[in-house]
Amino acid sequence: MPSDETFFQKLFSKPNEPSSEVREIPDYTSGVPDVHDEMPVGGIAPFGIIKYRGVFDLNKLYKVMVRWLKSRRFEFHEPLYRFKPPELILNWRAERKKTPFVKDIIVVNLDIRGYEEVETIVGGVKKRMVKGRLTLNLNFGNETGYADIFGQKRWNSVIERHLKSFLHRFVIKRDFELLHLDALMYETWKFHKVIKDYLRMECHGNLY
Amino acid sequence: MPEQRLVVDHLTVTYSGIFNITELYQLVDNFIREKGFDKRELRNQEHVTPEGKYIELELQPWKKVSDYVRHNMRVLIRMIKVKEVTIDVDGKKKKMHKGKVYVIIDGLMYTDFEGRWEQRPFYFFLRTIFDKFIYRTYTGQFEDLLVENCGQLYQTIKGYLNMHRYVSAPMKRSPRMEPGAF
Repeated sequence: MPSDETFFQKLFSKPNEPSSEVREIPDYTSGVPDVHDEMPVGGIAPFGIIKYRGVFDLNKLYKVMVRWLKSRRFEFHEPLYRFKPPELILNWRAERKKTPFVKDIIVVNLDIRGYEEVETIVGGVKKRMVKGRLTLNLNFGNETGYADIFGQKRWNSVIERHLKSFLHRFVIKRDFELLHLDALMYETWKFHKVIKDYLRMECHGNLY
Repeated sequence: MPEQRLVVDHLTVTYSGIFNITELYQLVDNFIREKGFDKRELRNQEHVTPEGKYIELELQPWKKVSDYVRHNMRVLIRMIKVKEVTIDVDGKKKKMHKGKVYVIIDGLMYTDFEGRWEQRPFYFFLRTIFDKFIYRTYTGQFEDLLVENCGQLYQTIKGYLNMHRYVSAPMKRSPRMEPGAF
């Protein structure tokens, strides 16, 4: 049976819009984005991997990283914390609304294998540290046309999505890369440097 | 998918002896910045073992030479059995490292990295014809630029490591250098 909607109605209709006859009870969630959320339009680009095998202070490393993100006005979310010794997996997603259209995102995946707590003496003081194989994966990206505070995404209809794609590919591409993507990349470099300096890796420092 | 061409294949530097890891890393970093490349540190791996540290560093600096050509350098540095040593340099103690270093440099050139000329088979065909025959001189010049950059990085690293080759050995003075020789 042919549908009742005309061609223009289909163009401007938003997907998954509830019909006016049946009203569903709204489901209020915490607003924390799921780690399996769809990829943002700007894309999350892989940045770099830090691998360290040895003894390190995980507690302090955690605090240093979170404080760095929060001091730069990032909203810190921890979608996954899985601790099953000898394995510890953490997934972090830090978001910052730069403009009403653009959002900065830094994704951190921390993986520790062979987790073992050891007591060491540092500067004459006993400290509880962690021994294991740490793998830190950093990713960064920009999201445009992000959802509002009620979780409702904009730029949903077919013509709006085409317009947004045209905007990104031809109109604001260079400005977007220069102002937002590059700036976020250099900021992620600073974050990368902070992590390497804290772990006291030999190849530390960054001229960028 | 951009068209990829391997221009420099496995320029290798092998060294065994005394060097400073931080200085070597900063040397490469400095070089990349001076030449206008954008840094991309794919992997920075450090393992502490009883025999010494194992460090693996993979860098892929890249540079957009034009809106059609992009240069990529692949620098892989491996340091094996690295231990800390303290040496005397002009009466001052300096912290250095001793171990084996392997550096491998590759140079890759990407054309049409934005994928504008591969959306249709005819565009792809036109691009190939242009790259092989019409744009040949320009492509050759871009390749020469990449070879030059990779070669300079190779010479810089080699020069730095050779500088420390005889650091621990005492300098043999020739009779002419003795005070009061002349």
